[in-house]
Amino acid sequence: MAEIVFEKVGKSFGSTKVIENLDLTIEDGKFTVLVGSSGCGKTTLLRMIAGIGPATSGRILMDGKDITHQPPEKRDIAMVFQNYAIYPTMSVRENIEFGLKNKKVPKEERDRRIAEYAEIVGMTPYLDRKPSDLSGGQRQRIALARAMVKKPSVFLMDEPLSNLDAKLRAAMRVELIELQRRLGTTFVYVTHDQIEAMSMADTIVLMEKGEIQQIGSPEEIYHEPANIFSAQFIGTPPMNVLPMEDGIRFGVRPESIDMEHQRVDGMALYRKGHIITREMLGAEMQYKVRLSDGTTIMVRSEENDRSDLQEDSDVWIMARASRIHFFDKDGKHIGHGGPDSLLAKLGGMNE
Amino acid sequence: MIKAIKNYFVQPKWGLQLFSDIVKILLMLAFIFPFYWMIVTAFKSYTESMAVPPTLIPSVWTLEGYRSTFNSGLDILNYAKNTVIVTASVITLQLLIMVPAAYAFAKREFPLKGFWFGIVLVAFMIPLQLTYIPVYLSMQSMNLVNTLWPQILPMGADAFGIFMLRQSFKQIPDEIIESAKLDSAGEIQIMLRIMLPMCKSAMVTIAMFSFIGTWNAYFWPLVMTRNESVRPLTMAVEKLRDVEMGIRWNSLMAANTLLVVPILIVFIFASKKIIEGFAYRGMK
Repeated sequence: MAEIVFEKVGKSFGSTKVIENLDLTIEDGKFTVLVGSSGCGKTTLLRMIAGIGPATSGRILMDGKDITHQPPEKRDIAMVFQNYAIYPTMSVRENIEFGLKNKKVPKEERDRRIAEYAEIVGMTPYLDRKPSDLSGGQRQRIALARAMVKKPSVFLMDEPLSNLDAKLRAAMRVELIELQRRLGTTFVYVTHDQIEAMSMADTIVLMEKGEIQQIGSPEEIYHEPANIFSAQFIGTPPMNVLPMEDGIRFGVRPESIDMEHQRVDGMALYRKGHIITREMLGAEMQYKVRLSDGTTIMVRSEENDRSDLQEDSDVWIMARASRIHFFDKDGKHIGHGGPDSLLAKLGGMNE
Repeated sequence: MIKAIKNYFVQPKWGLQLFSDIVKILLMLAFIFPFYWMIVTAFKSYTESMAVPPTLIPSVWTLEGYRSTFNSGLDILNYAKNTVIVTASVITLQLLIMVPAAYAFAKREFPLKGFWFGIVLVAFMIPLQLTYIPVYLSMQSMNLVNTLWPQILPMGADAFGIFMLRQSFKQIPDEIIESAKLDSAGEIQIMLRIMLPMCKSAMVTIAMFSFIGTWNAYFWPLVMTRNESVRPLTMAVEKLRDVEMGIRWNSLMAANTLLVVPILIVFIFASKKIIEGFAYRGMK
């Protein structure tokens, strides 16, 4: 159990400042996901919590105690690395046992815990194997067991699923969520994958260029994006953002667009469009549509059996007022479904 | 068997293959023959070893050569003891010095790291011959000439070994070290429990090189010693050559065999590791 607080934290590598004046509170017992594109500083934050890449300024507190300059072994944490960082010359058992041995946990207790956690990750039959005989998914499980067996207050995970194939990744995602619910421990999880972030997080911390763009639950981030970056980072394909006047822009998610041959009443947005491509994704259909002013937008529809919406056909692009987001000239979110003055302006631009 | 031969001649480009196989066999014979000649000559009688034309296989197998080596008036066992002491000390000393040095160069940050590593590389490039006189003088000033020490101390670290070990340490991902730190392992433990086992091949290779180099050393001990009592086995073999009544080839070859066999044995056991040492791939 632990709450982690960053206070005015900065990090520079040589003369390059990666993070400046960052404040962040990671809640106790929650699954927090740090998400962002590569180089956004998310792994840097994680390494600060771990104590393997100390902050160059500011303080980090764990349950109110300053741990900024505490060596990693004094912190009550465990970490799973992207490349697993398994010790290749040790057997699975020795890998899991190494940290306990170093902490002088008595032999009986060690054996008990190894048995317990090997069972949880399903590696019991492989305890005496060498990691080189095992698959990527199995090595991932060793790394998990090695972290869990220490019973840390905080779990740190640095893109732990990115080396796994898609199917296994989806399965492990669910397992990690279950694991977190069962242990009730603070999880801090780093990923560049918005789907992982959305599906696993209690709280998402969205980062870009060393700055936090938004902190919120997956629902908040999806429905109330703080800015254009946030709006476009989450969602596949990203939110369509189109210009209005005075640098003001409006956005509408591909899945919030209604696309018909006929104009439907009661919408706030009406544009004429021409379907360029049509992709069958299984449960959904995805279209690329060119508007009459030449810009292209993406449309995603759950109606996957519409044979009338073919490539090269003309359509109406429409959206309800509540589904339309407005952004000011700095990209900040003004609101969705309003204010009325902007809705009126948008209406004036309709076709 | 016949089928295998048939298959050989139906493979595409069998002519080229045959040519290359013959060349390989000839090369192999060229490498093996001197060893073969040494071993069989050692088992010939003195007269047969001098016979013209020479015999490929001894007509009578005899231990006369070995007997005369041990009865030559030279204290072969003392020479051998010196060689073993010097070789074992050099390897131990080298690993004690080179492993931490290579680890530091590969994975630690310290002031002027690049400069110090440059010095190591320079040492690697300076011809050994240039160092004879200064090292001799410094050994002399310490009153160590004519003991085993000058055969051990100057060989205590080897620039090439540091370089090679560093390369192999560098291939280990930093995350493994960080992970070990998170597992509460200390610096020494990380080096001994994590890094060294992962670099076993490189270590075996380096130990092998210094083993061969030290075991076969001739010139250096010759310069550094005056008394037979502190000289290595290589010099005993040399001694056998200048017995006044001409060279007793069977005895000389027996001594050579004694000198070479330990190297062959070690090499056979270590060869797999040595090849791995040159072709190390990190585990993904």
